[in-house]
Amino acid sequence: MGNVKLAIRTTISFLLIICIYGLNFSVAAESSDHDALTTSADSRHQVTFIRDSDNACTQCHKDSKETRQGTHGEKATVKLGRDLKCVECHNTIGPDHRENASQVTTYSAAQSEVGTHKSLLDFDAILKATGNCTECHTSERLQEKTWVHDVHAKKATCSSCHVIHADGEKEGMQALERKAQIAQCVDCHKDFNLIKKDKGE
Amino acid sequence: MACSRRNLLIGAGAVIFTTGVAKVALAKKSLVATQDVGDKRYGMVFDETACIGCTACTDACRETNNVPEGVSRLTIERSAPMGEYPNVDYTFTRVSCQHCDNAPCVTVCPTGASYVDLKTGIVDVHSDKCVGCGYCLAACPYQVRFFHPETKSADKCNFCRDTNLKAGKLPACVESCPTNALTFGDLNDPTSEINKVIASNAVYRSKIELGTEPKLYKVADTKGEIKR
Repeated sequence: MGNVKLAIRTTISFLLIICIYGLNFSVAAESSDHDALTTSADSRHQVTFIRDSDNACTQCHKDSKETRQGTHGEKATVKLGRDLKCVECHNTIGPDHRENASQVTTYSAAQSEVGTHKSLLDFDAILKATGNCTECHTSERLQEKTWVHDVHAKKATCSSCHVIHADGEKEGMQALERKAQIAQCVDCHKDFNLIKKDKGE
Repeated sequence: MACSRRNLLIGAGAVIFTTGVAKVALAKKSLVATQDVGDKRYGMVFDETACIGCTACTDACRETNNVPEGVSRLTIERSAPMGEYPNVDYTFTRVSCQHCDNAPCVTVCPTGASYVDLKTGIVDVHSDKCVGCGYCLAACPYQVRFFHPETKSADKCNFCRDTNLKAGKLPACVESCPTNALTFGDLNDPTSEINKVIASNAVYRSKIELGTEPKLYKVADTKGEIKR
């Protein structure tokens, strides 16, 4: 019994010694760093950010960075000269953004005419919602791609047809064949007509 | 049993009367889109104010009538952009056979391949009679005829006469239109939908000054220039 007690006592004291030894080292390291900083203040030390500003986002939104690659990946990086950050599109993220994400800029399908599937917004709200996109995707460039952009400029949000966080390659309009794209037109516009017909217009 | 001349005549008269009446009654009940029932004058209204330019109709036409790529019986022509972002707008118009009552393509055809079907008023082509001279292509003021790459004969819209109409359906373009921009029907029937649409809208027909008497009516768009 005495042997066991002795063994425990020696183990504890041994651990304590190790801890004190380790603490010594870390304090020494910190203080030396601190010294180095203060001494090199006048010799223009270059500070580089190694912290990823998207890190906090990707802790919860784990796949979002990868799913963005198909639409705003390499090409966007080449054009901008840097990688896009989450907040460049999803700005004004508040501390309590998990509560219905009231402050975060989010993107969702919406249109100016009453439909069965998509929510309703007025012209101004749609223009405001697409404002962030049209900063880079200017009206001229959109018109060059297709005339359809022109006629929907204030009548539908980009997300009504496009999937930005697509899984891997492209999803939404751009991934579709011509026929399937036309089917997308038909989907919404037929819906409008049926609703009008029901109302007796 | 004696069958007098009088009885025979009465009987024959009754048979003729009843079958005749029955035939007329049957004809009245038939679907609008059937063709072998008398003097119809099929026409179409294209509502430019309703068309969204999706071209679902051109694809439907291609599929239904087996029109190969490279040629088309029906195209939707889009105008240049009008206005500035975000108020840019376009107008659309239908380019297809106008089914003229007085069709120049029929008049110039040397073989009788191009003809107006008198029962429906539809301008059509007997592909086996066509020799491919191309007179009709040149004569058509609306420039809607082409040589079919497979049959090598002149071809164009025939209101799906041998496909959808035959099956008792509306033409493929009319069926596929999501905004109901197309109305098809009998211009001879005063109660038909097409006559109601023509009566209640500002309609125009292309190049009527040529005396072609086209049966494709267009509801003029409220914006842009009318494409005559």
